[in-house]
Amino acid sequence: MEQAVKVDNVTKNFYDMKRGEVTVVNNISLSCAPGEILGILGPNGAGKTTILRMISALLTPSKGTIEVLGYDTKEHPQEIRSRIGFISNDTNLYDRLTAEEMVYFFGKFFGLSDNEIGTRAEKLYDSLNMRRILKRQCRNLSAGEKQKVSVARTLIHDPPLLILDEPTTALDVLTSRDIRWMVKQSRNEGKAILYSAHNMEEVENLCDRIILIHQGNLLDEGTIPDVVKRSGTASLTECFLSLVKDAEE
Amino acid sequence: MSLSRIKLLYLKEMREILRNWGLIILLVFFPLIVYPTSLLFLSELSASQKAKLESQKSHIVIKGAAYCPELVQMLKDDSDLEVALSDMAPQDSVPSVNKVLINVPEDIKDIAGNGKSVSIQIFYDLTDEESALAKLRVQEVLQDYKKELTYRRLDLQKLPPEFLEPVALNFKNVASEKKMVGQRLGETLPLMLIMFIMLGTIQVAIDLTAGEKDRKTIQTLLLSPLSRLEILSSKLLVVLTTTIFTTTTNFISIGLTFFMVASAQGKTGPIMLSAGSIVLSLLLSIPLVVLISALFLLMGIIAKNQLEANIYVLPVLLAGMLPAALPSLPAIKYDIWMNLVPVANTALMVKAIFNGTYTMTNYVMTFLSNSVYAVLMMLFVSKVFMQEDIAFGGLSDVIFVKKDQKMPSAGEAIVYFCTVLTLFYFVGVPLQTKYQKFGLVISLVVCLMLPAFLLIKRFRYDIRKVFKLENPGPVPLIAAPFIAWSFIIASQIYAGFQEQFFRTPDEVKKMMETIVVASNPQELIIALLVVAATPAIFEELAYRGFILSGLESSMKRPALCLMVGFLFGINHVNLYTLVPITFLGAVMAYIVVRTRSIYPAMLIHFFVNGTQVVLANYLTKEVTLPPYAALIALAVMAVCLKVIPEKQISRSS
Repeated sequence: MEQAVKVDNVTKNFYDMKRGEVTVVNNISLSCAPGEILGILGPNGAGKTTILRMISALLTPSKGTIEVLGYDTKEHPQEIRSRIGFISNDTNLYDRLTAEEMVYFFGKFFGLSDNEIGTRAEKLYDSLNMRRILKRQCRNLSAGEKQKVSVARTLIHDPPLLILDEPTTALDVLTSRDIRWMVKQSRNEGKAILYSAHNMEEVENLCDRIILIHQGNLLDEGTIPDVVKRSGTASLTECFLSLVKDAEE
Repeated sequence: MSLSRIKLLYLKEMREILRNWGLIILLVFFPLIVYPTSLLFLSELSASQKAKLESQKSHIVIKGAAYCPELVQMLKDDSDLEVALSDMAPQDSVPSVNKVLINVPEDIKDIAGNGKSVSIQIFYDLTDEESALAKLRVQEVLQDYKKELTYRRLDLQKLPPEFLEPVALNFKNVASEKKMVGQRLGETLPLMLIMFIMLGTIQVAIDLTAGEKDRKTIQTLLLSPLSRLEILSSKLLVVLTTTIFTTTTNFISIGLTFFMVASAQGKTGPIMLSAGSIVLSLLLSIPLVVLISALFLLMGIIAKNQLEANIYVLPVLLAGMLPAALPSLPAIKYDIWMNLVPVANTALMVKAIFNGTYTMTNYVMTFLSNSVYAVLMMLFVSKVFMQEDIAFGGLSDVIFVKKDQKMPSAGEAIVYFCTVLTLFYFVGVPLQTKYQKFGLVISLVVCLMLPAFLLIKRFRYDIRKVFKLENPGPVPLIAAPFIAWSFIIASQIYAGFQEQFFRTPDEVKKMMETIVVASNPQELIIALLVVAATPAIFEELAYRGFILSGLESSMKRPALCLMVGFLFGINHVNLYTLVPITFLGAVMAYIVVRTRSIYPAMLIHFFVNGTQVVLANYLTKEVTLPPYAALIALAVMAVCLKVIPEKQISRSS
């Protein structure tokens, strides 16, 4: 099967004010196929967000190559960004736009016609149960409602690749459920999904494969049963703690 | 780049701005309300205070009243004066008890007939409004008294009043009222225009850039298919729209306020005639608006957050206001060279428009030169916006990063430079003024070396690396005097050229001469040690050593050399030598970067200063060099720079 995302021996270095040059991502390779959810696990500061930003062509790798939907991130950043949907804690909404305007403007940025936006948006509003908030300015929405608008904004152009960086963090149970449903739905539609999360139960329920990273290094990868089995532990949580502990030692 | 996407983002941004009531009030309603309201309140308050002041009687005291009862009676007859007579009244009773004290001398008796002149002393306090008013009132009475005495003397001599005025001077101002109004407006409006442009730009530019970082929406935007150039263009258009709107609103508000005042005085004609000048000025300022908008967008882009952006904006704002204030200075007029200075060119051209001295050629040249600056600034801003460190963080994240733990960061180099300049102003200049040559040496040690050594010790930097104490090899040392002499020839010719449009005052020339002139060989040796050797060592260690080492981790070579040269030029606190010293500083920085050694720069610096000391003492007549000598000198310098071998840096180092 053709891979939607191919990350090949990628390293990313930053300059830190106190530590000088720091390697945030160290020689990592991964891939994700269409119709697959790849879970990216790691403690805070492991390099998850940096990997996702490099895949979305926001950051350039210091070494290695990344191919997304057949495009190299260094050479075709705009083509890639027009074909992905990205949600993270750093992708907030515009306070003074209404939920509907937010979705509309981003639909237009992605080159959709008014008719296409109308058709796509109607479906999204129904599936995300967000009709009652459409006319409200984003600054007046709750955290859960904002996340639903973000999801609608991300899916409006029907991207073949979704990058979700901790999409359910700090959300209530009902909104988290709606978002997990949407993720599964997207996988069923054949989208490739990169899913970074801290909630192990969520990862076990959603992800087909996972990669575990710590301090920029890849600790393990594979299907959840395989990774758990290799670690000699009984659950994904134990496996995660054991691998991180070993890496720190 | 897609125009439709730029338009779309522009519409989105404008929609958000129009929903920001705080910003709308600040940018639109504030100027429309504040000028008429403040003028109304101030004029009413001023009129009321003036009336109150004038309704009060002025208490005055007269010493020696008995010598001139006639004058005392005249003062008493004035209904605005409350006269007291006291020969004991002290001078310091003014203004607390008496508002004016008049000291009448004894020999004023029979003054009308004796042909002598006496002096009446009038004590008042100009800082006290009541005393100043009392002085005016007293002055009026005394003038009448003086006139009365004069006529009496003429009568005694049987002379006509014309005897005192053989020639009547009749001055007539040929400037029309329109021209007079234009002249006054031309002195004040340029500063106001540029202030409005800057104030209108700042808030929106920062909100659209640093504000997006604060609100975490910048990544949302960067993840869209819009290119960074498209994003930047849209934001620039938004800033332009709001700035043009607020500048026009400000002008309309001021114009209407002036019109209101003029209507009350029945003088609306000149104001109406100035309307054309206002339109011409607003059109002229369009490229300047683009330039300033791009500049403030840059401040917002390089800032990590809005707070940091405000810190960057303040010095830019102050730096912009200085050239904007030029029209109010005497003898500064628009000329071809001033056209190269952004902001100043617009300010002077606006003045010329209002006083009717502009030509269409100069108008177009100002418009074009600002357009070129605006385009260059936009290209620079777009280049900065492409940097991922800047887009996600800020300049402070970049410049304080230590890429080598043994060397200072760019931020530390800038902090060091600011410390040096502060010390120089408040310690170095007083030391040099008081102790001259000795003061110069002490100020170099205290202002330049002390902070550098403290920083090196505190952060445990490698002193050899920071000061570039490496062997440069023979070629740069041999080339050093040729580079120095080439510079002296080129800078002398440049100085003559500069004098034509930017004259160095004689006091500045004299001040420069006093340090280098020696009356005997011993003094010459001291002058060489103080003016040539000491700065060659200390200034090089500071500029081509500490500052260059810090900045080189964050800048590419051409920008690095120019920046080091410019900072070196500023440190000399002499506007007349800024250009040649900046050039020399940049050349020496280039040599240090190329050789990784400070010694060739020290040698060049010594030869430049030393040769000038020797020439100042031994050159008996002024030598004028032909302009082509500068080209030959620069060619020699270029060859020398070319032959200096580049020292390769090994990866391990």
